[in-house]
Amino acid sequence: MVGIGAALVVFVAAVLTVGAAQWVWSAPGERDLTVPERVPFAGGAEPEFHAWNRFHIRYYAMALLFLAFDMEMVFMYPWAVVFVREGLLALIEMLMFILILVVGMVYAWREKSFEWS
Amino acid sequence: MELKERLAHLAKTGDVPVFAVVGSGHRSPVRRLRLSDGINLVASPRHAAVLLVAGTLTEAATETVSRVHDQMAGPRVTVGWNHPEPSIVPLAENVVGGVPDVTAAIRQQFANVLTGTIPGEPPLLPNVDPVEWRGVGPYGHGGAGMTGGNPYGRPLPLRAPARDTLELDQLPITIGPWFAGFPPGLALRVLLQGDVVQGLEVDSTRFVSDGPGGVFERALREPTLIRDLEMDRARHHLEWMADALLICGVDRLALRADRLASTIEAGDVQRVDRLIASVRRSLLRPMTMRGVGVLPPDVDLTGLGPVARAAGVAEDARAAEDGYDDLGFTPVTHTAGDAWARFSQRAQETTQAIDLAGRAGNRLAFGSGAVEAPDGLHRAEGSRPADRFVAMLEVVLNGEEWGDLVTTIQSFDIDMESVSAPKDVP
Repeated sequence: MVGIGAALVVFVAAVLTVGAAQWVWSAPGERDLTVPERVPFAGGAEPEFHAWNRFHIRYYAMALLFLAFDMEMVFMYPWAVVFVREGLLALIEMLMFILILVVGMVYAWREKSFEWS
Repeated sequence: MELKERLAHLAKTGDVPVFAVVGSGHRSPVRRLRLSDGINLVASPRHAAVLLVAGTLTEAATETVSRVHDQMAGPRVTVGWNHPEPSIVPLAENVVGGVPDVTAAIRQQFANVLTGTIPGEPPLLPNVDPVEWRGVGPYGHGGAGMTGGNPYGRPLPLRAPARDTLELDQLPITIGPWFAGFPPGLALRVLLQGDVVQGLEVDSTRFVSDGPGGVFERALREPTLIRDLEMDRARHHLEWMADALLICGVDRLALRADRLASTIEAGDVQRVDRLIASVRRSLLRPMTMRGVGVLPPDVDLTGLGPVARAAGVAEDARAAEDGYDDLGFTPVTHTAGDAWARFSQRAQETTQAIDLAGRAGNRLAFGSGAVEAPDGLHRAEGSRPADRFVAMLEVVLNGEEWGDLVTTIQSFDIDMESVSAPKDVP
């Protein structure tokens, strides 16, 4: 019975909230906007084309590199546990792993992947 | 008192959000309006309740101003300021007078419309979709392309050449003539991909009428006091600096530049120096302007004033005048030729102008058909610097990012009042 009572309280509260939100929304006497009122502001000119367009996200190369190094950090958490047990050997292995990633980054740098264009 | 009335009375005590459409002879007065208590000049009509139509506009501006009017959220009201009759859009009031008069009128009309004394203005343009959005299906759905029709009557953007094997779009859009980041009256048709400008064309329509001309126009015809010329130059550069700082979002420094422009006196060099030191300390400005808007090496810089001198061309018509020679005038120059060099150039020329004005006494200069104005060399006949800046926009701005485009255009200091016909210039 307690469960049904709680559900009822939540239901009534939800209905009241939706009702109040609708009242607040309609109180200022909202009217439909005309076509020129809906048009986005571009300094006074009329847009000829719809603004829905596909363009180049120029940070994608950086985003990919971020993902690579992010995954490496995730890999370092379990490695930290192994490092306590294995010591120097684990450190050298991790340095080799990071070195391979750094070579990749230097290559990307040489290929001008970090340039914002 | 009803809740709605109470809210209206509370709202009218606040700052009035005003969007200004600036016609001829009113760039400087509208800038001074920024200093008025209770007026907040906003960059978009979406944030405004009052539309200010200042100065003279051409017939061609009617449609664009009406569109800006309709884009204001209601309740809205339009106020004219020294706008000639018949006005291009209906006005609640046309103020003939100065900054205090128009400030009072704007506040009064804002209060009227909020309290319901006058009704908010209805839209000016007809409520018609350019083309009905309708696909082939019975509910307007389906058909060719992504949306099955033209959404809100407009076709989808053009297809750009493949890049990194991706087939992307180019969005052709006209920005202006009342975009806050551009000089009033300048409209550009740009081809955008994201924020990269892949094509650009200047709209040849004239929106702003001929300017009335100030002290520099007078100096074309008759010898003029160096003191007047240099004070006007200093004020012009300070107002330009305020615009540049506003675009950069450093409103506090922009306000200081505006205040300085309205109160500066001859010889008062220290106050300008303090402002420039603050700008340099802010770091934001040098960071957003360095390396931006560098002109190609084959561009002829002759007669382009501070823009030319910022690129190392030590050319200034003042150097050939006896009056200036007596004062020991030598042109200031910079070498980088980018937007930051232009800022530093104008900053230094402001200090120099105030110093010269303080020492000029009754010396006269110019009067023989050519004068060194704040934007470059003006001649009685022939094209003005603004004509040449507009003509070079297409070459200089193609391939730039949108933010750099705005910074570069601002750094040229283009006055559309003196542009004869934006497209038909050499």
